Amino acid sequence: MLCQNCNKNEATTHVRQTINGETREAYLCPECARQAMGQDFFDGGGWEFPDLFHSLFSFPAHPAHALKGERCPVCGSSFEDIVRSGLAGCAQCYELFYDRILPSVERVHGRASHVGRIPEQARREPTREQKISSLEEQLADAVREQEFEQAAKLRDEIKALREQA
Amino acid sequence: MAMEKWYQRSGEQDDIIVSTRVRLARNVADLPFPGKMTDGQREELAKRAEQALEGQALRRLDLAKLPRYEALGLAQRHLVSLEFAEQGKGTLFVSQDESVSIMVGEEDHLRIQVLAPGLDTAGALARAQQLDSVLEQQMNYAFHEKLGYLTACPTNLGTALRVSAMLHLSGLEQAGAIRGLIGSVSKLGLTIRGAYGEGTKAEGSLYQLSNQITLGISEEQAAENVKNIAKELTAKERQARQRLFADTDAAEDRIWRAYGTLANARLLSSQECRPLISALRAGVSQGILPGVKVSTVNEMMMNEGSGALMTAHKRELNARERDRERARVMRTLLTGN
Repeated sequence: MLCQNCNKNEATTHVRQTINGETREAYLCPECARQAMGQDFFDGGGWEFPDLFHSLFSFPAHPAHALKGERCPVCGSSFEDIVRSGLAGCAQCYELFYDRILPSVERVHGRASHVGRIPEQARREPTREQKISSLEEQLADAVREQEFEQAAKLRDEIKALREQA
Repeated sequence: MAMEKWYQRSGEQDDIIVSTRVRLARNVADLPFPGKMTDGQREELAKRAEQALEGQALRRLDLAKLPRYEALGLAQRHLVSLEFAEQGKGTLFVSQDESVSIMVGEEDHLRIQVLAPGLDTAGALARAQQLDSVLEQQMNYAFHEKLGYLTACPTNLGTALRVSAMLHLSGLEQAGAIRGLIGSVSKLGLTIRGAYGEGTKAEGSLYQLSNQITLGISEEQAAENVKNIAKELTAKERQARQRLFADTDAAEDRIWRAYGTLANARLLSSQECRPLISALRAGVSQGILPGVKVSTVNEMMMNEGSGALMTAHKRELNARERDRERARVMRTLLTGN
């Protein structure tokens, strides 16, 4: 299913919003879902100390929970549990609730990606960015060699990897 | 003879910078975080950590088997957090000199902590990372390409590294400069707060300076920032003291009175003791008490806590007993009597 907002990307998030008794539903891609909810969804106040993190999650009066009631299969946490405690229940929570946790992470740390130490296990596997840049090199070669069928295949792979972000 | 503790050694600028602490948070990928763990999973995690740490000369302590006062003593010596000491479960691995402690099952699966005397961010970081490398041989860490090391609290994501310097800022405190400091330090992505007590007035004038941001900044850069700001604050503290000690008679009187009380009192509460130790440290730093070593002041700090006093006696002590014991320990450390 395509995103009902942009009609371009694959819809991954079911958004339901109830305002004054009127319920609206939409299936959105991650980017549109984030835009639809990101700004007012995490309407936290000022913060000074790490242990006040949960205040960053504070909701507006009419929360638009995406996939409301969904629970992490590993630890059983719902997103509401994470908001209440200010703590993720397990590593898997970050995958499952990624789009909803990210705005709060950015409030604390800015729009940043990890730099620094990487576990040995992760070091052995090429990162997504490394995979993309390697595919992009192959794509440039394919275009130069006029191998358009191969180029199209590479382009799809790159697109798929980008969408995982 | 008991092995020397880390705080009995000397370090860079240790008259003002009491200690440096580095803490790495780590979680394994296949278990829920401690808040969601069953007792069985807790034990499984402790077992894995024990296996991974074999040969590292660390002693295992299970909090469930420890008397309450001993756990409190560990917290007062900064080997565990107070929350960890109070939860009554979890496991600690600790080195004999107490410079290394690894909490298993605090907020995160592993909290690797290294303490060093004075200012030594690079040294403490290197030691923590060495232990991290040992642990990751057998622990499959939870890691995300963009978010870094996954931690229970999102404020620790990224490097999951907290670098802290414990600073003795009695001069700046008396000059009323702390509130301003808190503001300017936070603009640099760091925080400073009282190591004991709340708000801008810290008991014993001890303040903890730490990095706040962990995502998008490397370990080395974060450590360097804390180091540089700690040095700058130390320089400012020395300036404040110069002004404060300009009236030599009054300053010397104050220091010697503190010395007199610590060397002679028969009952000392913690509230009375900490400011006296603070004055003593300032006196040593200013060369007023040439016979007293910084390491002695450190030992006094580490042993005045009720947990340490009760651990030494291997039993609970009531308030009167503690005050008597505290006075005796301070006297003995300071004068040998």
